[in-house]
Amino acid sequence: MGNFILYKEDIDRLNKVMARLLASASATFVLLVHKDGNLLTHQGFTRAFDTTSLAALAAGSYAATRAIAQLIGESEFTVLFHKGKTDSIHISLVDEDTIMVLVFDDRTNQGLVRVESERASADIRTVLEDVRHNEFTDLETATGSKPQAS
Amino acid sequence: MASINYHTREISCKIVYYGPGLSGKTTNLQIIHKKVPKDSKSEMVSLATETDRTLFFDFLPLDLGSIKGFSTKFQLYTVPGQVYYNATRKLVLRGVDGVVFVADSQRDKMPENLESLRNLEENLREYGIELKTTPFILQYNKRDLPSIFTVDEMHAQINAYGVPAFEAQAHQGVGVFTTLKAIGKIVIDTFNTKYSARQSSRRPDPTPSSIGSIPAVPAAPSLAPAPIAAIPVPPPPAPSLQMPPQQPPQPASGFSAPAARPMVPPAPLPRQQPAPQGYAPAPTPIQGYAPPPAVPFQPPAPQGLAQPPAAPSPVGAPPAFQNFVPPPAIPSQSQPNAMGAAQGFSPPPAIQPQGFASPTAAQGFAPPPVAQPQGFVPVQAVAPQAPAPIQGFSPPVASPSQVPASAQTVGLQAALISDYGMDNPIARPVPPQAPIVTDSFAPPAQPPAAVPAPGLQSGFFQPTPPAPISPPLGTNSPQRKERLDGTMDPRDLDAEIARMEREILGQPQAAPPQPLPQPPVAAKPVGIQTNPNVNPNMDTDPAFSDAFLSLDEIRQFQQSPQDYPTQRLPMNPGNANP
Repeated sequence: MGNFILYKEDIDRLNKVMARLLASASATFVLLVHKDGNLLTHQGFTRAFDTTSLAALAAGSYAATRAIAQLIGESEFTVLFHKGKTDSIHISLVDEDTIMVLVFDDRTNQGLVRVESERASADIRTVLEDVRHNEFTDLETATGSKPQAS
Repeated sequence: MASINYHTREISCKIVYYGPGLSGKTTNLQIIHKKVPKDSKSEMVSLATETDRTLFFDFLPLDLGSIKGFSTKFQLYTVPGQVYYNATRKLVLRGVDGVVFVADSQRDKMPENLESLRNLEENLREYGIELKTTPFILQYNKRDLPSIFTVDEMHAQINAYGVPAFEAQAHQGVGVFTTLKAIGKIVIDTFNTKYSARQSSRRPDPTPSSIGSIPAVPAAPSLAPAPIAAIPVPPPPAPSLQMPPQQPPQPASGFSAPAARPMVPPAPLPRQQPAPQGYAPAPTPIQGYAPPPAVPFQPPAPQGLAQPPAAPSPVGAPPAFQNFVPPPAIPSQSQPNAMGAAQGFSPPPAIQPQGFASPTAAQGFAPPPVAQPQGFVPVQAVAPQAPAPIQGFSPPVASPSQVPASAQTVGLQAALISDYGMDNPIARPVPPQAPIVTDSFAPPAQPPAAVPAPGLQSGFFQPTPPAPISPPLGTNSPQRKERLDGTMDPRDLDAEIARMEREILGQPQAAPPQPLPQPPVAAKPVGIQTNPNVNPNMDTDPAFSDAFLSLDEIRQFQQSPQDYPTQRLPMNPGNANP
């Protein structure tokens, strides 16, 4: 398990996918969260929310649900859905280390969110597959962009 | 597992406070949350029971300054200490970067400390992490209580790895920040060491760990233990981790060491000298807790911890954390399901053939030949101008052998004509749930519920979807058109039916019912040839004779269309011109 190293290009790619997801699913905001609880990136109207805590709690909730799944013989549940009066949360598994938290209100519906998040998950998965091969660069010389392979 | 975001210039680390129940883990976080300046913290999240026992975890994100322009985000977690919450503890430990073990110093709590420490090792091992290679420090809490072990005794009992240990009275805030600084420094040093090693493997001149030291552990090992009560509550850490690299420990550098520290810093542990490697005591073996032999804790960065300069350092002084074994990925068998499978999309609603077996079947439309192995006759192909049966009759089911192939496209009325008038078809309707009928004289599955109303209803064509295919095919077929909310679009129904027909035609049926060869029955001439769109009672029913033109009138007006009496027909009664 290496560290999670994200460069600007990765973030841009992830944000692009997530922004498209937001538009197509009419969701409020979306977080990409490592299963450890780290918030990787986010899109949407997150200013009014404590996204850091939300990410940690969502990861905890997902971990607890995963433990429940293992109790009943499943390896894990791929989708978690919490419905509220107006706002709901859709947590889905992106890859083995990452979950996606999608918050939406009653202006859209769960089926749409589900389908669109599945579609976006596939795109995010490909990006994260590249992220795994990211190399550490020195913090002092780091520009934020991925170093060009020499 | 730290995460580095070069774009936002953030480094995230996860630190877990572990320990037995009621040892003060949550109190540590509460004190930190209380004293840290507002701009470097977020709200603390505590998932606790009504009696304030931690149920899942406490969470406190903390901004601890910056390293080379990268802000460090520490996420502090606590675990529930009670024994039966082990499953939860294990979850919180996932991806941990540093562990603080908060031990209860009371004499009667030592078994719990040992049990919890062993549990920590077990849980870490499940993630493929070894405690001795993980940033790990101890905090001896509750030093103000009576009947406590001395520091040396504590050290001998639970500090088998010889890691840095700190005394604390978390409730008063004593020692809390010292612990936090120490673990923060070790985590960052580990991080640096790890990546310095990577850098050195790629670059000719490696940049050594440039994270400065913090005086969490006093450099000068003092034999005189500082009075615990005199340890000041450290002020909130300055939001800067910037330190001059490669410098000896400076009291004023580091996380937040105040320049004028009024008191003696926390007593270093162990207090016995000489300790050749700073914190490498010779722990006496204790019952129930077997320390690994001869794995002295090596501070990750030599300048940070109290280590005599002349101390013989093992082989080239590689920091112990270079031995950090990346844990294998937790095996996960989860495969993100395809959407259809995950949704558990149910097969399309079976189209019930009630229309064919119910009395409405007698209303002049023809049922499709349910036993046709060649497929279905499209509904649109059923010509409504074919002679209709008289109302009240349920058309019999045509056996495939009885229906000429040419009759299928014309419509099933032709097939009906052949049986029309033979007997009372009500006595043998099509069973609604039996789509394949080989015997046209099958007994009725259920008697018709109502006799169809005579009159205008008869003779009108009523389109009905064909009989369902049993069992429904292609439930997970990728060609399935699926609406976004999971329901079928009615407009797709025709395409869906056509697709199912194609599937049937494409697949040779396993055992298609082969009816016995019978000589084709010639269609009997029917005595009454009636246009199904014309009311047969038109001529005799006085109610209709006024409303409709007679045939003679029609013929008359057909010859002179301009004289057609449009005024006479009540086409639009509400606006009829008088």
